[in-house]
Amino acid sequence: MVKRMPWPSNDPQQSKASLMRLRLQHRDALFGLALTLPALAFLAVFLAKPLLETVLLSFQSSSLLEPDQPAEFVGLSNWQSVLTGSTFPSDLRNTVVLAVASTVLQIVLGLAVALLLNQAFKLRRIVRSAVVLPWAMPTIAAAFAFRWMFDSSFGAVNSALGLAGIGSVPWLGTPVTAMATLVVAVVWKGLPFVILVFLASLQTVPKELYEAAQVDGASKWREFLHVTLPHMRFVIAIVLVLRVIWTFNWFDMTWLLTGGGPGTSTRTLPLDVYIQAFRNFDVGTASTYATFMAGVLMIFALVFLRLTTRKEDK
Amino acid sequence: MSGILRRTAVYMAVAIVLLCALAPMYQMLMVSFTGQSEILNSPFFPSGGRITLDNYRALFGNGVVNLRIYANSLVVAVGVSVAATTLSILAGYALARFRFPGRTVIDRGVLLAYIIPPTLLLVPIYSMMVALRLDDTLIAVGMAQLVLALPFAIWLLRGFLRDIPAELDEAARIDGCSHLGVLIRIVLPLALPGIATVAIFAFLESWNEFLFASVLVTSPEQRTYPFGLYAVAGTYGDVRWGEAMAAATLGAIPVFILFLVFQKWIVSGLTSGAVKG
Repeated sequence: MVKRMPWPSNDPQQSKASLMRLRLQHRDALFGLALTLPALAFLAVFLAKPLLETVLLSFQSSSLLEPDQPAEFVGLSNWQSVLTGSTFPSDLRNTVVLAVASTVLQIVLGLAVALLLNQAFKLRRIVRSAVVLPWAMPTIAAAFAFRWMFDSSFGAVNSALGLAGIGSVPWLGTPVTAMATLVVAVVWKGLPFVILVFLASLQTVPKELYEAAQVDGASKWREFLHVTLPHMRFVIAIVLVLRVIWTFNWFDMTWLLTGGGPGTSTRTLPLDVYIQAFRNFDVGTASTYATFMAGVLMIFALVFLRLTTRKEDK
Repeated sequence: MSGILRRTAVYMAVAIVLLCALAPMYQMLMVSFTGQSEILNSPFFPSGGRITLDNYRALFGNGVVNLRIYANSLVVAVGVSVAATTLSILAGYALARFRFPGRTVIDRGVLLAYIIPPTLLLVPIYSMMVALRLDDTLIAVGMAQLVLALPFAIWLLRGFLRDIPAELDEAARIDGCSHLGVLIRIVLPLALPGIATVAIFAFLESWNEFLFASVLVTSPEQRTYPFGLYAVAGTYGDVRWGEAMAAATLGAIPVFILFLVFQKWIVSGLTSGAVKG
């Protein structure tokens, strides 16, 4: 909430002082507003306005091929055709599967690797740098590398499986394995962030708690379960929300690794927006997909925040 | 005895984690140094141990990738970085220090921007750039990428600036320093690590950004590294893997160096928000 400015009191001595303060606060407020203005103006034009336009366009019919043609109000017909469309259930399912599977894996693996890198061993600093390096790898380069590694005939993954006596798997060639490969690539690219946050969070667990647990003769596993995990639960919740949103919206890796294929088996909602707008030039349908995505995420974030803050209150 | 066992287990686990983390980068490098005729039977190492610079030579000679993409990416990324840093210093300072109407709304809005799918902005921004006659220019790409980078930059810097004690500002104000003077002489030098973090972030985000860079640009001369690479080698079919990987490596190396050099700042930037809550 914005704090109200103090109302001048009736006492003349005091009112003079508070009037001065009021004037100063006014000048401060103006200066603050002036500083935010450039960023605010830019975001208003290029973020807020597009957001509103997209929501409105979801109720209109318009084509990118005829930009001069005024958009026509069509009511809910875009929404009806999108929500009852034949590919909508599977595209939504793909998006949710990708977001949930990769987030769960990132959190579980992130915890494991953070605990590992928190141990004392030689060259720990260099190892930490190396483990975090995928964060900096350009997505296009990562997609190329994964496409090559998971190539069914020449890739390293199938060659390694071959050495172990397992036949070759057509990774990017069948629906289930393509989704699995995509999840692996997303986890690989996203894991460093999770590891870093968890590592930082591990440093904030009070040492006395571990000492107390050791006095009580707790095993390492129980120590993790009853000391480390409860201390980190809020950080884990934040990382979970951030990662679900990030994966849900992420276009690049899916498009560059599988292109949504084979068929439509890895097609996600961000790809739908792109395909509708720039392949089919159907702005109304693209905007409907986009508005739907934003709505789902808004509800998800609100519900999740409500749930976690309520737990904190108890 | 159990100490040795434990230590062996830790080192083995570390080795497995390292292998998984570095394998894709190794593969990219390895293929880029393998001759075109030997790539298909070199899953782990260049076949016969023969390392060659042919792919890089082909790139600089009559290659599949226009080397302009790197110059374009550099120009756009520096521009985005400078703009995001400047705007977020001003806005972040105001949000950290001053009370003014609408402050909380802006504060929340900056976080809310994280939820907005980038694809949602595609059509309106594309139409706007066409209307402004900026489509097919690097300026359009930079502006779109600034939209993606700015909310996080503001949020990050606001956090950094809030940690600098406000008493310093007040002391300088009493000594007769103007508001702007306080920002430039007192706050900026103290906030240098935060500013560097934001600058590097915006640079990396722009350098990697594919979606807007591919939609807003049509002519090959305006392509940036991710789209330039995709446009020549991204379509399925007869990919010249050696040259594609060499081109990918050329774009990845600068980012790796930047990351390793400024790692401390990047890590503090990545983690400060989430851990502090």
